Amino acid sequence: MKNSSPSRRNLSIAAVLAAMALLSTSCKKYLSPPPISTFDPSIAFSNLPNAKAALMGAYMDLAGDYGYGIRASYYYPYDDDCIMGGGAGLDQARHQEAHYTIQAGNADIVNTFNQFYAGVERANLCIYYIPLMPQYTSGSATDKTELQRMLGEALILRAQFYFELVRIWGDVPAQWLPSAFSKNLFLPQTSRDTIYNHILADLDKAKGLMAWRTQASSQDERFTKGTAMALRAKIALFAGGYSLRHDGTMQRPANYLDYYKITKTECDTLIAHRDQHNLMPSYQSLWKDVIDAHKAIDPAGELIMQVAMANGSNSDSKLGCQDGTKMNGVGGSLGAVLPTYFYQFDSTDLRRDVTVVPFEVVQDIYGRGHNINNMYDGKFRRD
Amino acid sequence: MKREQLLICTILALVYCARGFSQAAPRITITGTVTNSQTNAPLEGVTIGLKGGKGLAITKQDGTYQLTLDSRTVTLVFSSVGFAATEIAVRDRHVIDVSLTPESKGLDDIVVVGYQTKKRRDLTGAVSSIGAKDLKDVPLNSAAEALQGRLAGVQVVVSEGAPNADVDVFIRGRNGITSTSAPLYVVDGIQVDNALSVISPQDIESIDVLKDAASTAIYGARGSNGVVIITTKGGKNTGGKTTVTLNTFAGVTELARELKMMDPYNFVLYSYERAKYTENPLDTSIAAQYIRFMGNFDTIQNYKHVHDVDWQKTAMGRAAFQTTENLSVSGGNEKTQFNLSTTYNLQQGLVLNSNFYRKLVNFRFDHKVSDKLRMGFNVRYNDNNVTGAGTSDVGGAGSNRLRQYVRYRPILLPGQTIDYYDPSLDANNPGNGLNLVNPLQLQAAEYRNKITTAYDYNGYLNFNFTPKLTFRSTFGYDVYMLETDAYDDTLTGNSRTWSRMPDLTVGNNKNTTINNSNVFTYANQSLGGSKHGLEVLVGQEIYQTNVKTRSVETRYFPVGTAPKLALSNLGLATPPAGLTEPKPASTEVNTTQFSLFGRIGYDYARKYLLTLNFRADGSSLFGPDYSSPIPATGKDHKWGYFPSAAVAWRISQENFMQRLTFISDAKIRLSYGQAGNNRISAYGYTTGYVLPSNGGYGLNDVLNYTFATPSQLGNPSIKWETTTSRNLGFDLGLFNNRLSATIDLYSNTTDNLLIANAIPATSGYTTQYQNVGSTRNNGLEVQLSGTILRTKDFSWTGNFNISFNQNKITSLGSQQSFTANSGWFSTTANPNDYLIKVGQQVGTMYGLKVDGMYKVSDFDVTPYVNATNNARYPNLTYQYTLKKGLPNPSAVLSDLVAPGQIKYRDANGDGKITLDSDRVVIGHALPKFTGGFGQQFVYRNFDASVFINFVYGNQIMNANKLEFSTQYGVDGNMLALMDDRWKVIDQDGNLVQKQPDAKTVIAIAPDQLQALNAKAKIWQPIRTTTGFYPSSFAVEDGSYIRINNITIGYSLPKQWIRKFGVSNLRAYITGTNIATLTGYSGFDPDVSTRRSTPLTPGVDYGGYPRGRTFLFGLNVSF
Repeated sequence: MKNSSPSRRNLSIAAVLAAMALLSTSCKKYLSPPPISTFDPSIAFSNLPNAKAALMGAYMDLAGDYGYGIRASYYYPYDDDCIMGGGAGLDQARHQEAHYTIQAGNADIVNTFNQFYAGVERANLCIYYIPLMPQYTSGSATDKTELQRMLGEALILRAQFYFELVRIWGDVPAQWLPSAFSKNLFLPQTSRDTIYNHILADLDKAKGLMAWRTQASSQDERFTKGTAMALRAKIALFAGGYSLRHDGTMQRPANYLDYYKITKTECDTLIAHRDQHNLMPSYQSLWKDVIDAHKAIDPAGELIMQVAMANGSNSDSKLGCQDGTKMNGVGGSLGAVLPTYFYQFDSTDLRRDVTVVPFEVVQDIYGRGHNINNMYDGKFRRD
Repeated sequence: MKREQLLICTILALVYCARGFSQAAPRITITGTVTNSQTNAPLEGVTIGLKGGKGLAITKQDGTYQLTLDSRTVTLVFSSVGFAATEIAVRDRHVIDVSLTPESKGLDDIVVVGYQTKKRRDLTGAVSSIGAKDLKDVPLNSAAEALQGRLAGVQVVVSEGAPNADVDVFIRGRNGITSTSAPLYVVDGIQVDNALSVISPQDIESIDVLKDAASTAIYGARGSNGVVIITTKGGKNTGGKTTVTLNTFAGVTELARELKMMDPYNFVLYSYERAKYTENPLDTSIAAQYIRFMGNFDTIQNYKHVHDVDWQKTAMGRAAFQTTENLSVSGGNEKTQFNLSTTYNLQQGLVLNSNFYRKLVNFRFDHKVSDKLRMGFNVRYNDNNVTGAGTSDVGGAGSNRLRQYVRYRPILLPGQTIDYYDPSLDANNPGNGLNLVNPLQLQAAEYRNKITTAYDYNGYLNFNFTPKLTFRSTFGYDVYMLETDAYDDTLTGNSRTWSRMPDLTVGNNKNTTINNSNVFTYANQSLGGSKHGLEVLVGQEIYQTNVKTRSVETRYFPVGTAPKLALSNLGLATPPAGLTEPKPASTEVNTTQFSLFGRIGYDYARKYLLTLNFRADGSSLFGPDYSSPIPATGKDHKWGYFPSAAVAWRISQENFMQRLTFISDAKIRLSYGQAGNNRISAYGYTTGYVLPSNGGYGLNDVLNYTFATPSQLGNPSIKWETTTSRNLGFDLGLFNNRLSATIDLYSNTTDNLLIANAIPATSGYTTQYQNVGSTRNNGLEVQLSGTILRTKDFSWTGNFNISFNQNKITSLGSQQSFTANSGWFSTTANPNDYLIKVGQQVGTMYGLKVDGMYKVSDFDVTPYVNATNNARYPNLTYQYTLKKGLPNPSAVLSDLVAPGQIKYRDANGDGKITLDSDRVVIGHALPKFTGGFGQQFVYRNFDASVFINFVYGNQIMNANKLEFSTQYGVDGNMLALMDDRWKVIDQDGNLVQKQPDAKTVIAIAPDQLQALNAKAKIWQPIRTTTGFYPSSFAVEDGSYIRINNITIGYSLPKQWIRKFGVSNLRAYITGTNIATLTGYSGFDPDVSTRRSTPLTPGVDYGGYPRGRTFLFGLNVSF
């Protein structure tokens, strides 16, 4: 008895412990029903099609009403020396944006800001998770190439979002990791110089990850090596240029020449690759036969970087509908091309009549003439 | 109605005859004394009556009585409040002395607490109850509405007046900020989320509301907002006799109140004034509809004699019929009891085409298998159908319909019929879908059908190992299915968006719940024969839900397709070239919960009572996810632990209290404890990609397979929120419990509050669940009830309750405040109108303060010299410039500031009025106190009851008023209060004021302008969306006292109906919402229409008006 009791006790303790362990694991299982309609990163980055869908999500934040569908492409850039922003009412959002009279009731500002930061987050998720995918390091050669391209695209997307954020708002908060890893979400502003340097480095990296247009896995509206180079050239110009600083002065960095060198190098490389990117023989054809004809690509590769639009409330564009030639009362309502800009074109310059429309179409009258202060922009047009 | 009046008359006549006959019989005199059996003291006020008949006499101060009888073959009933009624057959006796035994009915009432029942006398926590007797007088189809004002500490807010309107129930205020504060519903031991809407009030036996943590902690999980326990009617041991009961009522509802809108004259006058001022061709064309040319100002007079079209009456003022039939068959013997109840409701809404149909079946069966084993089950089936678009919509102003019924032009122009469709109005969309469409046309164009099918199966098994040790297992399986069909014909906003072709959306929801609890109870009232009583309960519970949703929107049906045809032939839809159908959407979410709990109850001599509760809950709503292929990292937050303790002292049982004979019961209760809450959406601990609702990125002109990040960032460290509740209660019964009072004082604090907290958008998200908030609710509740008067034929009982609650947000984590938008106009295009701030209450309204309007004296007036404009406006020779030193309102007005414009206050005194810095707290949606006052009268066979409920100290954001007093669109009618506006034309129709360019305001001479507008009470209507800025103008006092219900009933004498095999027949008439005393200018102060987030309570926008209902009903038992 004396001998057996401890062992029996041990046995029963072991049995209880085992039962408890079993209970606790099955309990853990019971309390973790697998998500069915929620795709957390472990699912989203489990295979290539899903990872591409996540990348498409980042792309999507470029499109729609608050992206380059209309706000970022038409409301924020104007007034400038070419076009006067529209909207007669003082309370109209686009009037306020064009004339620097933003009111608290203006919903555009916050929506665009939020959408571009959502784009940053989506790009951050891709940039963080794609290299962690087993296929990235040990997949087939095709998988590896594709994932590298996707990482490159995500880097370009993030660069573009930050570039636009800085262009509109100056110094903005910047984060380079997904928000889930951020201890503090209340970030201070980051100097635009830091942001520019970071995205220029990212684009340099993206260049190395991606193939030229004609060698890419698909020839479509996605970004390619040329995109990374061209965007890098453009951003470097901004980074080296003058901008309005917090103290109210216009300043440029002391090493601005370094940035200009980046631009020159990138442009030289691009120009040296005419087989990849060249100008279309006809300026009008680029607009009429490619862009306004809803073609994804042009044969020469003149379109280096595109935001794709398709039918869908957050994926479409109002360009070509609300602006362009006014046709039977539709269109032509966004802004007015300045006469000075019109007259900057040589009268024989074929680009003038593509860019500026001094008439509207009413019923069957093609080209009812307009006053010089009431001309439409014409690149996105339906006539 | 006539037939019913006739019936009542006949009944009255019969009663009169019956009395006449009885007076003719011979007389027998009986005397005697009635005493208290315990004290032998004489009893005053004891009623002596014939069994099943009228009262005959009442005892005097010395307990004696005298009465006369017609026959000796009768039985006398001696009854008095607080004593058991005693029956004595007269036979040959002349003197009948009776001693009555005190009974304390209220104290013996059975109260259902977590997983067991208790007698009220043994309770240690705060519990309010209502029984079938109190519910019977409220022939309502909504059980929740029947609760309104009845229970202390329970606030019922009905969102609007529609049949089957959503109801919010709050127990002791609001603990949550962004999450729901809805209580947990437990029906016959099973958690049922939408219990009050799936159960007919006629099927409810009792409702017990657990309020403090001592009572709710046993439900730990999800118990922190209080628990509502519903017991449905079961069968009774009737010795095998089967009872058939029919409850039926029918009646009409009519619109209780209308908004006063402009009459045709004032309406046309404003059209003219607007056109004159703006000189806008559209405005001029609108005015020309009525007067042909702007020069015909004098013809506006003619509209004083034009018949006005009351659209409110036309579109939502019908005499809406309703009827309810409830038939139940019940019975049983010692072993088996059953109750089968079927209910049919038909209720027309006030708004045309809006109807409510419901069919309910409830079957309960209890069976005693042996002395040890008892089992039972309950099956409920609910099929209901709500048709019609109603008036309110979760969307913005464009999709809300009340405005259509109120603002449509109050005139029919020559040649127009009442349903005339005016295409020009449709075309005049000012933006945001705010154009007007003929109300009758619109009602026909919007087909809506909401079909709910719910079935619940639950059962229990009860096994007594010994009389003291019991095991009970309860199992419930509930399915709730909702189908919403919405068909928008060509006139609607939706159709307009999609190529003006009909659009159909079919949504399907299916919620399945499985709930199982297993409980062992040991109860020993007297341990080893001592005065120590012990009760131990241990148990385990699982609760799992599965929610499936599916939604398919099909656009581009051929014009002219009937809704039913479209619904049953989705393939009819054909998108025009270049357009595609939207993708269907579906989701499925599972949640699980596993809980262990225990309770120890101890008492000494039933005098000192102690209850200890403990509960541990594990929930799948908290991380980590053990199902993920990636090994779980981070802390386990699934489990929460919730203890509570309560003590009670029945002071009336102490010896020293025995001398105070008028105190029949006195108890002090004290409790402290914690309960949890996890009411957040699933997978809040991780960030899941979602499929974008519109399809995806348009790469290469097609919508690609795309994952989008949601608006909410996951937070792996979220955990249970905890409510700590402290309660001090007193129960007092006086004069043999003829009067009883319950007073509770409480202080509840909720910590680690799960908030969908606003986070910086730079994260890529806008919200994140965080355990950061805390709130405090302090309050006082008083519940009184008693028999006020009792004579031989007459009794008058009353009850009264009042609850004070003070809500305060005490923390929002790292931030101090954020704002929220009720979205009544649009969630993005209008400034946020609610403030969530530390130190403030939930439901704090936020906006600009209105200081009347700008007067002439606010301006510097100088002669105006401008060749063009002087020629154009020869009368307007003065320029008005806002005086220096007055705050510049340009940021909040769309026009340049001018006399007669709305004036907002520069709250921070910085010299300019801006939304950013001058919005202040303008109101609070939570009331200071609420309550009810009910009285019941019985006179012979007549019974009557009056129920009054009241709410005090809350404000309502009357967004209707805001919209209906502005002129963003054209040709919309305005509230009549705008008749007294500042005018910009004189009595001859001449323009007296104008803003000729962006920088100038000109007008006639200041004294003339002032004289013309000397009587102006309100500003010029605002013509842009700045008129929708939240302001104190929209905030109104929402206090009210309502005569909620008056019922008068008559039960036919039993001897008359017995011949027909009827054991009880009662006829009654009842009126609900009889009168409301309120200063509120809208339809009804009991309103809250913007409920998609709990942050914005108390908004009245587009709410369905509430009607006044008169019903006639019968209760018949066989």
